[in-house]
Amino acid sequence: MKEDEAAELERRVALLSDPAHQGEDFDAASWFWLVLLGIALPAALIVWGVQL
Amino acid sequence: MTLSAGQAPETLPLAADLDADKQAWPLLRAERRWSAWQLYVALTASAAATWCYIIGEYAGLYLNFPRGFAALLAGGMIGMLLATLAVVPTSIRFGVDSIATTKPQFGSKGWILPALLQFLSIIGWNSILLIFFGKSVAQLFIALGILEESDTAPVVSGAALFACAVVFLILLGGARNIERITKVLVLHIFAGLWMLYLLVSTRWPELVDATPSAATPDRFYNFTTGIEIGLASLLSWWPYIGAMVRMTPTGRNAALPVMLGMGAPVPLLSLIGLAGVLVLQSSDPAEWLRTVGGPAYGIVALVFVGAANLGTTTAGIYASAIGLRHIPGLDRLSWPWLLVITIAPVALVGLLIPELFFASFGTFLAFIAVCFAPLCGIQIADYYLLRRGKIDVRGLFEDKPDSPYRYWGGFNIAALLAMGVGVAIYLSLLNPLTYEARWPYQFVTASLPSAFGAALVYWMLTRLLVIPTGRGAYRE
Repeated sequence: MKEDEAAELERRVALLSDPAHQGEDFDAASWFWLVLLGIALPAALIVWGVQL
Repeated sequence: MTLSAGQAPETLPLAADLDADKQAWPLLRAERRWSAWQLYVALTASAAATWCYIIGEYAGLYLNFPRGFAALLAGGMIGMLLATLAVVPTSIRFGVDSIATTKPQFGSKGWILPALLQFLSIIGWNSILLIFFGKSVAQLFIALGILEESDTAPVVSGAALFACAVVFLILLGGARNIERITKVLVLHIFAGLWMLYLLVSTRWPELVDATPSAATPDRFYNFTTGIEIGLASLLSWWPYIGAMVRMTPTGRNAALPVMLGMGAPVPLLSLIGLAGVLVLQSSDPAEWLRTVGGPAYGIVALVFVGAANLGTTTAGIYASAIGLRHIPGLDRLSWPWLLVITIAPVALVGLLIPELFFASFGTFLAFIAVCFAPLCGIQIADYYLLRRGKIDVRGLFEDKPDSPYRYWGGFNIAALLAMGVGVAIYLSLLNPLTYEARWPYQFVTASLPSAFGAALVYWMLTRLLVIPTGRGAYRE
């Protein structure tokens, strides 16, 4: 890796080590949609599909 | 890719001219400007491609239209949830791609295994897409009377190569161009829904009465196989998802776009293939639209196929190129040459073995599930149960003897063994070549036990072996 690129990577890692510069994990609303669309909806479809 | 520490970050130069979106570097919040809507559009344009028809065709071998719809959507959304939980939290927090998210589990060298899987998966999918595009071009030429049925091979290969060149030119501009072209290409979704409406509205009685050609007497096996096909198809988003969601800064921005934009379109557009194969014995709309509406409809279908596959292939090649950036040597390669290396295998498949590769789609789909189901299980167990969200970002880019994710010489034995167990569980339940299954596959699928088994083994080995020896930065 070139020196300037290594320095740039180091700068980024140093900044991202601080939680204030990190992105935000899923919040409560995100979890609601994940559970609804990833668990509840498939469960309902499976129950319906088995009965068809 | 490794760090050279020592200089204070505030003294280092800003790198506006370094094109961060063409590197595997972590993206800073200021660089992650995609809104939820932009991410939704990009993910939808990436997800909706002609693989949907082939996926629908495979489901149509076992299930009628209503049951196929239920099974594909259920399996697809479960698969999307698994891939999302495995990759998105780490990608979102640190602005990294899918490969970087595997380093805490597989080690500072062991990530090469997921990287290889990503490369093979993306090459495979994009080869199928471009061959499909080539076949559609050939179909159109036949319909217009400028090509004989026996002379399609050069046209298929030529069209695939042409598409490779277009993708290369688009990606010279990096992620910015993906966002630009997907704004236009996403419109093809409406063309897809129109095609589905056309088929369903004109052939509804036949569609209701159609019998799947490979259905077995075991209704549970048939339905579960539909779910398994949906699961495997959406698990194949694992390689793509990190490179896309890292462009947005919050989990809230990503959750709905991922589930609705990336998860839902594939099973919904698969209904085109499902309906096509049940009624007209062909999943390719370029073929059956001519039957339904004549050559003019065939041209519309070809435009749709071109637009759909271009967006997906562009996103796939981009994700694969970013993944390759982690490999020492390729991290300093110029962006155009990295694109050439990424696209070349796709071009070679399209040129040399298009028919053979296209005919092996079922085996390829099973390969996806065999590999990515246990990988997702391991990542979910690690992030949520063992680390509880604590990731050392420096460890994602560092490979020194004292690096956080060094484990044993850069490899985590727990992850490798868990992968092996997950693959063994899958193979013991379902033969990916023949789709011959063993109890209790018809009640639990093969992918879900594989993911769960790998997660359990990873959790146990980490608690018994890794943490007591102070490896993996679990105690920090």
